[in-house]
Amino acid sequence: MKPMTRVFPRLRLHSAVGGNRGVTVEQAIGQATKEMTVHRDATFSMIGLAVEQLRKLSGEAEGDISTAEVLTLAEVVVDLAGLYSAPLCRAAQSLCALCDKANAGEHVSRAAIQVHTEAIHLLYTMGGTESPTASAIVEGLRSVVVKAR
Amino acid sequence: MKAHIAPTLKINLENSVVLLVDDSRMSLDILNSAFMGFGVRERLRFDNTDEAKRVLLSRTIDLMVIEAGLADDSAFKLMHWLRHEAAAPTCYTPVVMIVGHAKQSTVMRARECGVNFVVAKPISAGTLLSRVVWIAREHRAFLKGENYAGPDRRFHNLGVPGGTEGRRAEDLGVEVGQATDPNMSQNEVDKMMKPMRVDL
Repeated sequence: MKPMTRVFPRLRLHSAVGGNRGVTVEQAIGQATKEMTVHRDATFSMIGLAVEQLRKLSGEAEGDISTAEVLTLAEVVVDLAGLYSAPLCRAAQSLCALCDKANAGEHVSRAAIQVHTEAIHLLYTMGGTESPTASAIVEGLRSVVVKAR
Repeated sequence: MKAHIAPTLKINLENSVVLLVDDSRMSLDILNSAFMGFGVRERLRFDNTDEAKRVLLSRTIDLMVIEAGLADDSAFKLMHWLRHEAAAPTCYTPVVMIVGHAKQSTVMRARECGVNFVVAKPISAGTLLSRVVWIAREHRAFLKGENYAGPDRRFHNLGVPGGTEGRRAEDLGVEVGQATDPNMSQNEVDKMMKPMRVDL
């Protein structure tokens, strides 16, 4: 095997930090958070649509739940909530993990999926904010994934 | 890995060019807003890797932020092209890869495709900026070999991987060999380890 070559590239980005010009990290984070807030309502509306679709899919009385469809919707929630709401994002990630198990051939009960979609809906109605209740819900979902058989 | 940065540290990203690639229009808009808040004036946004590749070929990009879960594995294909086929200095472009549904296999793939950082959602503006600052402050070596091209993944020198002789010229073998100097006395060892009061 050929040995690796190593170089130390000089990046323009190196000169962007630690000088006297510009803004402080604190100011930059504050400004970015403010800019991101502009999209919050529209993003939450889109998350709401995905959450409703998830509930509809998992609430269907007849037949098996399509975990591929559930996974697609859960990934939408992860992607959007991942920039605003940590609890919602983590709950949706837990649902993704459950779908991965099902898609890998493991048996996943309908109840395990339903408890996830209802919990995601609850977190959504709570505004997706961090709280001890939200953390407990997410923790509970993780244990459902571990125990899902 | 936690990246601690001082809140008072000054950054000036106004002359940096950032390329954002995500197939979700909404995510792209949010990332764009975040980098606008960081002070980046030139933000190039694309929802596909073909256009991103065209830009990478035509101008210098200071940072690329790309979503891992693009259709047809295109984020990983772009990374392979960038690190293995693009000419210098384009191949050295720093890359942050954002992972939404972070399966362990996806994170490993991201690490192996030569990105500088893998950031798993949920992320905040603070997380994102800390990674940008980290890249701006680090002077990690860029490695290019048959199987891997990208920033050095060894943050700490823990020696060569077990059971191998190492792949780098400076990797030392596992055989220690015979001592060339006499053993140090306990007193000499203590002097190295303990802080001593000295008169100045």
